[in-house]
Amino acid sequence: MRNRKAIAAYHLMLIPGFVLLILFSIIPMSGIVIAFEKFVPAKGIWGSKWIGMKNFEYMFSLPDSRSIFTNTLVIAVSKILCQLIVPVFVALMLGEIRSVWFKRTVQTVIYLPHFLSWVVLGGIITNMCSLDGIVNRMVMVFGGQPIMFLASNAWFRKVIILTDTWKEFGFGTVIYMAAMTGIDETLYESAQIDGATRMQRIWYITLPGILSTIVLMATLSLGNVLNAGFEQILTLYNPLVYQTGDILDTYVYRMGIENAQYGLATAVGLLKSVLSMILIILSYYMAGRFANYSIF
Amino acid sequence: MRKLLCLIVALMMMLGCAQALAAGDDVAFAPYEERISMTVGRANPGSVDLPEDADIEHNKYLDYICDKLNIDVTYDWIAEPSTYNQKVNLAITSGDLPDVMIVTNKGQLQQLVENDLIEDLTGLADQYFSDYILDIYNSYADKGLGSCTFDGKVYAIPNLEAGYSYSYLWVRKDWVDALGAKMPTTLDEVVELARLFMEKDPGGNGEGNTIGIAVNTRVAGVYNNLGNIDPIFHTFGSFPRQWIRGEDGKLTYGTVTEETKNALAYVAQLYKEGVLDPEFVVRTGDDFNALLLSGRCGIFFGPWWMPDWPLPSAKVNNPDCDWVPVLAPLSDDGNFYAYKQDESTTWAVVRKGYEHPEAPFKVLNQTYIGMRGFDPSVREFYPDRNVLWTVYPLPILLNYDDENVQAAKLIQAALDTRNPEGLDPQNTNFYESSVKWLDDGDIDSWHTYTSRVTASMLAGSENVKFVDNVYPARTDTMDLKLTQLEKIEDETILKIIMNEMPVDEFDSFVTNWYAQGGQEITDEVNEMYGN
Repeated sequence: MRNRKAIAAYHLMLIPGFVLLILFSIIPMSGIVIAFEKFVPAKGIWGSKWIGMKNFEYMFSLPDSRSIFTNTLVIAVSKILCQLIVPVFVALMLGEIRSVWFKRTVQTVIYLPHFLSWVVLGGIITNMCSLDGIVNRMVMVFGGQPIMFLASNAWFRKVIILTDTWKEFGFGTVIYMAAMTGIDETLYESAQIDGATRMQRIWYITLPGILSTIVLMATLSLGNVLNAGFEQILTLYNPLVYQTGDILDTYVYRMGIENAQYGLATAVGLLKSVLSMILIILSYYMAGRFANYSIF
Repeated sequence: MRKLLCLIVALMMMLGCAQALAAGDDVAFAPYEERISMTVGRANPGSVDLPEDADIEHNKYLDYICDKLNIDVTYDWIAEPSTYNQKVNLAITSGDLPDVMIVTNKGQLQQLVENDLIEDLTGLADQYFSDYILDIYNSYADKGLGSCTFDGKVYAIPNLEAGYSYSYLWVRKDWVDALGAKMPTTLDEVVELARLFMEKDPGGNGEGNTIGIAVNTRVAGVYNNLGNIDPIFHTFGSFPRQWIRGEDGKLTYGTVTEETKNALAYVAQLYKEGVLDPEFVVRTGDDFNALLLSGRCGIFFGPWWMPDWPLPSAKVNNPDCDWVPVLAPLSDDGNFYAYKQDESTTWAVVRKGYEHPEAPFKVLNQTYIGMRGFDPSVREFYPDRNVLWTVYPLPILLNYDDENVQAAKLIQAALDTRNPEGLDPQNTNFYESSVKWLDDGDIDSWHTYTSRVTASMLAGSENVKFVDNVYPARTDTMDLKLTQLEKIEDETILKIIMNEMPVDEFDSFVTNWYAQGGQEITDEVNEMYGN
């Protein structure tokens, strides 16, 4: 009896969260019917004409839909990989540093860009990558020809991935550092007594110790496979690099906001959400299978 | 002398006021017997330079309208310009309109009509507009109310944008003089001058740092915009992004023509030689302006108002800097070709069921008495401030098509004799500033003289020929396919110019453009204009 009462209290505590979820996530979901309509704002969701799968058919008939999907996948997957590898690497290196002051400072400094918006960074990066910007000056010091990074299809994706990694790796690093503090110190002591080298300690103690966190981060990021970073690309791209830089979100933006094709934009968005959901379910299943990790 | 001048001006203003009042018949300015209310939905005009104790919703201009007409104007909402279309869409969707709403999108106007949300205003213009305003509308003949006439019925009050805001050449004359060169007229001469600027570096930017010709990322086809190199395209008979009527009366999209291909081939060559700004594609608007203001570039294309913005600070920072307009490059036949403006881009609509559909007409009558200086008392509202006209509740700007050109001629005539008699209050202002610049060398007045007199006169030159172009409303196919078409259009233009795509691939772009919806759109547009 007491138990049930206690549980009821917990359920009550869930209510505010659920109300928000229903209000802002579940009710608006009904708006996806727009994807199957020739949506006219004046006529509203109920008054607009139902056209079935026409929007989807048109979407797949677009000669560019393939390159847009490819761009999205390539950029997003590369970002996810960098986001996994770089922070782990940096966290491991920082973990080996003795000076607490130095460690903290580095940690804070690399964490800072995470708080800057892409609109601000976009201007800075555009400047750095310009023909007389700092990057090209360095290129010229080493005898190279200046390159227009943001107007070159060969470089655009690299710039996008690099700058995104630079902006976000501090955040991941902090998480892994936190995970590392959870590892039992005695393990290191006994390993040291048994004569393990530093590399061996990292390999056999630290890495397995934070593996569950790595898997968790990987799982969570899989849901982002189709999020290639809308704001970043919007602030940095131009028509010349549509070929390698135009992603689902920027295309939807131009279509929906600039040209008011709400039906088509919703269709693309819906497709993206469905694919993301499948990926999340899949990765959750894999995380449970291979890393014994489960949220519930 | 100055006192006398002031007296004359004051007298004239009173005269003008009396004229305007006498001309507009009683109905146009008659106040309502009982106070009526009018709610308005409009865009936020930003800073209009009101003092701190006033704001856009409470100021003497609104009181003025209320005193004169007994109309109490309040704002239902004031939306940010960047999201204005969304706000109007929302109002349309919900059907909850203010009594009078400003619409800035032809498609939305169409929707409002189709959904029967707004009043039919047919005949009200003739009945309620003052003669001053009516004369402006009549000067455009059918085009005056044409943009909001559906099946013979008028559904809105459109703005009328003055023409002659096409782009022509702007050159640093001080650089030309320093190098002993001559002002260019043909395309070859313009390019030659750009090369000379880059080579001789009259601005002292250091070797290789001078930009030949500045370009913006849209390259061409945006009316009334700085940085487009439209005039270069026009010498090839090409009008990118514009709907042009051919000799057979058919409308064609200007980007997908043989002429555009030729023009692109030429521009691509310029880019290759480094005459065009090599980095134009990644420059923002601010970067572009910085090139002109910092003296890194001596040649660009823009309309008559360049001296008012962005060039004034160039002059203030460096008084030797002398940007002058030139009607160049001319085509082989000695003419300068340009396309015309979209006369109406903003409309005031009246909610279906509003009891006083004539009220906005009256508000505009009174607005123009105030903002065009016919009523001197308006100047005393906030005497030490230069309050922008958008402070009035209905920002519907009305100008004669050749208003600026005619005004420039009048001001020039007055300047020749130093006698401003007969100028209207606005032109008197321009005249006074011009005198300040010409006689006293007042640098802050340079821009007014250059834009309002020199550049505007130039815009009205006799050898300017306008092609027949139209601005169609959005069609169904545009709604669905324009994003894709614009994508390949922008991509192709930039890639060809930057030599990333051979010019010959332009043909396959044209084929693609037609195949991916361009043909349907061309048919729809032709049908819209009765072909």
